[in-house]
Amino acid sequence: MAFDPARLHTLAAAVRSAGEALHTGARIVAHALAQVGGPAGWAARLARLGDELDADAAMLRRRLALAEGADDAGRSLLPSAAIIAPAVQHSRSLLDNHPGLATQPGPAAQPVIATGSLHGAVIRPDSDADADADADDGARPSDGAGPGADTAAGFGAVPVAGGGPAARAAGRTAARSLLSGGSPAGADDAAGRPAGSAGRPARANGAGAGRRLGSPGGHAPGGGDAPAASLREAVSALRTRGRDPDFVAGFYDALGPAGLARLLAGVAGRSRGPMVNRPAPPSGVNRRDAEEILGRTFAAYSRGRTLDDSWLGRFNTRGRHDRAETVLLTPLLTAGRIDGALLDRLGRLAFGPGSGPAVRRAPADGQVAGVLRNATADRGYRVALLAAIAGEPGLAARFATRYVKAVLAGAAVADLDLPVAVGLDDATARAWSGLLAAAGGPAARRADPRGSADFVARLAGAVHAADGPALPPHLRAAFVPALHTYLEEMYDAVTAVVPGPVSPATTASAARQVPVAAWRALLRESLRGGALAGMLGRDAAAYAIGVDERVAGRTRGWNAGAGGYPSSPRALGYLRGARAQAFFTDALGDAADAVLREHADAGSAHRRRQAVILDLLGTVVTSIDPTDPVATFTHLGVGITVDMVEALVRQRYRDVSTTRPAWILARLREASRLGSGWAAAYEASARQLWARRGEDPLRPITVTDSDGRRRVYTGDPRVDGYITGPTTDFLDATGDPRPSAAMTPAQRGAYLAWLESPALVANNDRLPVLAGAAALGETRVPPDEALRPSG
Amino acid sequence: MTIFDGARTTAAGAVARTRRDIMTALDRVAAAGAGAWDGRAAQQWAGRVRHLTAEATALLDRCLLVCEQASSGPAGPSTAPGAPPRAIG
Repeated sequence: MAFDPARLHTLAAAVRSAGEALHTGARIVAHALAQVGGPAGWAARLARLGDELDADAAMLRRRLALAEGADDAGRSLLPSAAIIAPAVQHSRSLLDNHPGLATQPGPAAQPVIATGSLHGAVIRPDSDADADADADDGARPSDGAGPGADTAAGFGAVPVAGGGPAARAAGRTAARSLLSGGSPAGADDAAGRPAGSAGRPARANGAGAGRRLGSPGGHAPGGGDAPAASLREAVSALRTRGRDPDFVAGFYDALGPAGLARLLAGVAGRSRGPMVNRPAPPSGVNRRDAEEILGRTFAAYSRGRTLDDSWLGRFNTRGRHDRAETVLLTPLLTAGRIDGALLDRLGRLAFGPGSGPAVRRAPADGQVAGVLRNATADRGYRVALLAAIAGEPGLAARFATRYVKAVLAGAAVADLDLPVAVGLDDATARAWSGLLAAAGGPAARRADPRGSADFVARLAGAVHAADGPALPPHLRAAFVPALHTYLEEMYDAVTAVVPGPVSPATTASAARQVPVAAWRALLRESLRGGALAGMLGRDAAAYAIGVDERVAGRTRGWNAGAGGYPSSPRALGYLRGARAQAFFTDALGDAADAVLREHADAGSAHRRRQAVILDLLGTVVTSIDPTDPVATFTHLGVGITVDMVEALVRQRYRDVSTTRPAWILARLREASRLGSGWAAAYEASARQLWARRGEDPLRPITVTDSDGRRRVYTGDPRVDGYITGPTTDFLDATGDPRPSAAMTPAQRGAYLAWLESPALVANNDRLPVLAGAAALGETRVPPDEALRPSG
Repeated sequence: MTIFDGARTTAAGAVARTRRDIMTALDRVAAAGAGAWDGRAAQQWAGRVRHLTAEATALLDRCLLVCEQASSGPAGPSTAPGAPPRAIG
């Protein structure tokens, strides 16, 4: 449902002027009553009513401002309306590939003719088409020219491996029996052959086709009225031979999109045609059974063929070229793994092109203006479609990337509790959350590394730009997989001594370029949901342990030689580990502050939930020991899911005080604060070390590398192999490092590695002071901030 | 708006006008609210506006009654003539 701020404006204005009228009236009444000696309390009561209306007006203005603020922030309401578009799609794009189909009856407009496809003839006069089709009905082998024009246009020449021509012919026969069932004589087909064979019934361009489709009372070609017997037979044949790809291909090729649409409508017991209220004839088959078999076989078929827009344009029971009655696919979506390309196409149809960098556009006609409450069937379709896309790891990330912004905007708007139903309904919103969670998960990263990295970058950017949106808990929980999957990238960025991209570029380069502020926003917003906060805390600890182990593995035996070094070559690793944990704690503190503020603002219904979340965050934070990642790791459980949070809210907590968790969070925030200032300080001290190498030569350090080799680090980037040529040479003409911002990614990568090298770290005499200062922490934020929620 | 002290009929007229103004404003709120809220919120809002309107109506009706009765009854001390007009509001 589209949001109409005008209504809210009108209401707010009406309430405001009513409030003013009551206040004015109260004064007049007070005077009048004073004149006649009436009771003064009545005027005061009128004024109180005016106060109530004033409060209502203020509430309405606030909600309006929130909604408009969401709009102003680029989180336009338009895309959120687009992602809830109706599920019977009609779009010119469905005809884009074949403009001639809609407008020109002549064969010249039909590109498929040139391919030799038999049913290119469909756009010829009917008699010719019938003759050709008859020939096809005979013994034409499955030579790839078999599919009708409706299907051939979409299929191309994708070969189907498997059982052979005979199986395919059998499949075609099974489909034909289905198609011909309702009109044994072809109704008005002189040749007496099934008029709807090969999926042609949707054609409306031939004269005969027009007559067949258009005459009221005439039989629609095809098997919409298929009697129960042939439907049962077809389902039974599919059940027994459904694993033979040739049989399946033959069946669906012959059925065609329109035939499939009618078959599905018949199975679902839906009426078709203009009088949709007419009761459908009983299909005579077990619906669930039939849908399961059709779903499984259609999924296999979709993976063997390219079902394009032209195919979808005919997928309807109305005999049209530009309508996709996609809602009919709902049962198939849940029954089998449908091809990713088709899911992508369906997704674009259902939710618009998304808000990618280049694809943003206004929603199609009728998608926004006056969009009213969505039909339940549409909602079910969208939920099933999103679940199917989420189950396709190669598609989920790429698909979700396009809609991240719209989903955030839609969810944020829905959570504003606006007086009109707006944004996403709960089921669809949860389906989107499921998709976002899948897109950020490890399976999506494995299947589509680049798409997954792009998704995470877009997600973090969108959450950062939204600046603390009000989101439902399940959406916050959906951020967790992304944070978990990309924990290395996130904490590498957070703990880097020098900011900025480094090369060599990896497949996750997009994720590597996410700014620290965006990671922080994503982590904070995720933690605000409370769910799985423990797991995220464990990730921070695990990263710290990992850095520590890596550094230790690289510098084994560093102090075996004679003489002490100013500091351990591992000191930087400690600092980075502590920084990762402090970053997490900081984000946790921010999340707790946000929850406390919400708690202060929200009504009592929300307070319970937020008190519980605060309690959870308090529990997580007490488990964190910034100086000891290992202990942190063991203290933290894996975490609590959204469902568990909700269960806790319902069952355990009636009216929890927030004082204790708030106090704990404030104390720990103060204690564990570790600013990022040390990184810059370390870089400066390392540069100074290098600049003074003339008077204070760097002492070489011998360590056992992680691969077991003894290796000497001298501190000279050329000798130590960090500068291998001009592309990695980060030193300027005088031999000093250039400013890191002026380096190329390759130079910055080499520079960073050199800064972290054992010789440079071990010779740094400022590092112990730096570490001490970091451990003491910074107290820029007053510790009582968290205790003053509305501050 | 101007009330002439001592003119009890004017007081009743002022209250009657006020009543009309307030009722019109509340009717507008009810009309605007009918289209703006949805589901349970619509019911809550309608109930709230109804309650508010009923209370305001009852109050104003009583005020009007008192003023009218005063204007039809014997003059009281507060209706002594001679006071100058006073602007309020």
